[in-house]
Amino acid sequence: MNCKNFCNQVSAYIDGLLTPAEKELFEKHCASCAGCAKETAELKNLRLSLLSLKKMPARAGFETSVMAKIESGAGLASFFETFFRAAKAAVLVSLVVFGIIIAFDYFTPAVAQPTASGGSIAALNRYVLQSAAVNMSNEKLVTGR
Amino acid sequence: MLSDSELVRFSKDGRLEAFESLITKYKDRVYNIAFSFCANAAESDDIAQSVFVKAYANIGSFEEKAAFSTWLYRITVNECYTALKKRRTNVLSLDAEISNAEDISLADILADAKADIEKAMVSSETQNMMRKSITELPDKYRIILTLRDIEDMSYEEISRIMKISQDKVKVWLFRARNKLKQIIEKKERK
Ligand SMILES: [Zn+2]
Ligand SMILES: [Zn+2]
Repeated sequence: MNCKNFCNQVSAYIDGLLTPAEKELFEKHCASCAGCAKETAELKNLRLSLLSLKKMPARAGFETSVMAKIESGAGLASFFETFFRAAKAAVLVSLVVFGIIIAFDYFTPAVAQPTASGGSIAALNRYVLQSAAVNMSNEKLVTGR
Repeated sequence: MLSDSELVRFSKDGRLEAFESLITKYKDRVYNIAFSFCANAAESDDIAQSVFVKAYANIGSFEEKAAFSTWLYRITVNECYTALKKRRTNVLSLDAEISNAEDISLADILADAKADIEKAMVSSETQNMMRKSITELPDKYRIILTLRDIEDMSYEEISRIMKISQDKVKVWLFRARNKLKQIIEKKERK
């Protein structure tokens, strides 16, 4: 095993992850290699320095701030829930209305005028005008009689 | 004293006081992880707050396959990533952040009457240098180093939090430590 292989093991060594055999080889190498011994000592030192960094605690009143956010968020959530329930009802109602218009559009031309084409409003208008015309001619017939 | 899983179950039932107990238990650890990432008190406070707000919002979908703490730290890591991404779009000077951290540790030192002030000042300077060096690491190395060398978590727990294999933890940690060492050595040479 050359020096480079040992360098790759330093991190695992300081975490105690080497097998007993690997550990023995590693330590034997460090005893005769100043470079690897120095590197091991430095990385060990680095880990200890990091572990001893002052722990930063959350500030006083942290819970109160979070709970206030959660409670206002919960209020907001229930508002949206109500809003969406209302919106869902509105969508259902408009779907039903739309369905009636489509059905009307589909059946009306057959009743009023089989060759008619165009939108539902046009069909409605034609139907209304036609019935009016029929009524008027009926009236004319009545009055003319 | 209720266990975490009991507190989680109460929280799922909408018992806010149970969730508040979980906040009390984990707030310092969550805050400390965030502080290792950004070395900024105000930003760490924001991160820690949103961690708990998100945890509460999603507690219903927490399946309790893992420990609550593992789940919470995973949210913490995600929030740190998000905060870092957001910060990169704003330009904030790192020096300003570090001096911010310095103010806090100095205040803490002054509050502690027993502390040998002169000695503490030196170590606080070294600490700030180290914290600043950590923030110069790439994101994933910053995370792995924080969890292992600052929080002293096991490889197993880190692999569960980050959802990576323990072999990957080993490799990333090896690179993170070496990179941090280089950064610190470069600073010391100056
Ligand atoms: Zn060597
Ligand atoms: Zn070497």
